Amino acid sequence: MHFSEDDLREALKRKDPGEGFTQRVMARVEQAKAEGKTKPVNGNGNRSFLAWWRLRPAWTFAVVTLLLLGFAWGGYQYSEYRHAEEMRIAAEKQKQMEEKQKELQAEAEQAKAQAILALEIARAKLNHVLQQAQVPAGIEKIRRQRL
Amino acid sequence: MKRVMGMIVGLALCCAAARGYGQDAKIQLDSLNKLSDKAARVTDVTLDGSLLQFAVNMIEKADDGDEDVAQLKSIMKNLKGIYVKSFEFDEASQYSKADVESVRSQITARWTKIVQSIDKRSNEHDEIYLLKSGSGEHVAGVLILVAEPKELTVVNIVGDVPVDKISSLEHHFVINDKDSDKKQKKGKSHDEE
Amino acid sequence: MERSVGREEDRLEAALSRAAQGDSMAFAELVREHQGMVFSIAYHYMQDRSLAEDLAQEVFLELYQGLARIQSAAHLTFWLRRVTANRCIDQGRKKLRRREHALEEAPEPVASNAPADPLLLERLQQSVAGLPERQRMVVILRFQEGLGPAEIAEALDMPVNTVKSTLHRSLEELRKGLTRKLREVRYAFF
Repeated sequence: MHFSEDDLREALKRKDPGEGFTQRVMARVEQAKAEGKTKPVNGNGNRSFLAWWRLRPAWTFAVVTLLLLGFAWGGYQYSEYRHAEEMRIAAEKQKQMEEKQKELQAEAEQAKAQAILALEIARAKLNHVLQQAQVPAGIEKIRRQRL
Repeated sequence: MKRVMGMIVGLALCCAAARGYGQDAKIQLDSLNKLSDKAARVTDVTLDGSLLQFAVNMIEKADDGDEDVAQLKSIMKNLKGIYVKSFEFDEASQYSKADVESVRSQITARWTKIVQSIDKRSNEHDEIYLLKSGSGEHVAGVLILVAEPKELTVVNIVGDVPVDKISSLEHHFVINDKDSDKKQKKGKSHDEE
Repeated sequence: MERSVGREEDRLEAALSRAAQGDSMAFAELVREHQGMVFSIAYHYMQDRSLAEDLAQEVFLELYQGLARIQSAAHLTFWLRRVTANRCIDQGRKKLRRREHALEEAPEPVASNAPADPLLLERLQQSVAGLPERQRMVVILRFQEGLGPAEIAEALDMPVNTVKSTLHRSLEELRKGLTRKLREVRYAFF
């Protein structure tokens, strides 16, 4: 017996399951949910969240690319910021050191001036006393003491 | 072992003696500070420890070519302290004998008065004391006391003091008038140690 | 035509998206859209309406549980075919059920092969149901769903060449089987 492929297609064409099939399916789904055999699809926020992205690969790709670029840019900015901060801190330290150096220098200058002043007064008073005493020999005496 | 112990004890005694001499050389002048209120002009210098070392280092850096700088260096190098209290008054009798005695009372037997000048007409009493080192080979301290009607000046220098060189210092190293005015006004430069 | 197909796809994509977020109405829409395909594969495989409906319901229940994994409307269709086919084959192995009509029940054979012949169609359906499991499903996916060998291979996890040879062999068997039945009927009458 011969039959054609069209005959086969005709024989195997789709059949409708009949009235109420959808309702019966939904009833079964509800029953399974009630029995705890199945979780509601949106019971877990992550699943629906992930599903949304899975359905939109172009969006997903765009968002991931943007995020990656954002991270890279952020990382670059952060490293620049860190570098600038380090430079700033180094400059501050350098400035502090220079100021400290200047302070010490000023202090030393002042001490020198004080020493000179004191010696000047000592010289003046020493000579004044010796002169008052009219004792040139006093100087010789001092010199002998020194020796 | 006994010999080593003996040497250690002897060294300790020498150090104590040296310290004793060092302490004798410094005269406490703080009791005169109260005269600042009455004085028209005050010079107050306290230079020892690290501050004196600063000064010595600064002077050491100066050019040796100048004879006076060289002399200054040779004066400063062995000093341990320079203390000056100088009060100038507009009127006489602004300080008392007790003020002067507070200085004299610290002069121990180790000090030697080498010069004294008393002028009753001008009511002036000047003295120069020297403290010899333990070995007697050099000076460990100098005290100059000038008491005039309108001025009281005490200069105390501690260390190996080349008095003759101080006496023969000719050059004025104070840089300018402004500096000298500042230093001669009421004010202290204390060592912070 | 293309615009309506495009709109249709958008509608299904939207329904899928909503169903994945828990929208029961959207899920029901998906069931309505695909119930014919799922039920038919199961019915043509098992030649039993109630079994086919049970199996179809289980497929949709499984779909409900795994909606998050469905990436698109096209993926949904592929997924339904694959799961339905595998369930049918598994069920067939468990039950080893082959419906064979008694000769007495066989209708009067008709020599002509006019496409509208309902008896031929019925015989063909029965013959298909009599094929071995994998062959049966290959024929159903080929002639009911119109899938090509590559698509059938993907759905059933078979090599493409195996699908082609299976298809060829299945058609041969169908022809032989139909001819033998007719001879038996004629012999019975005559």
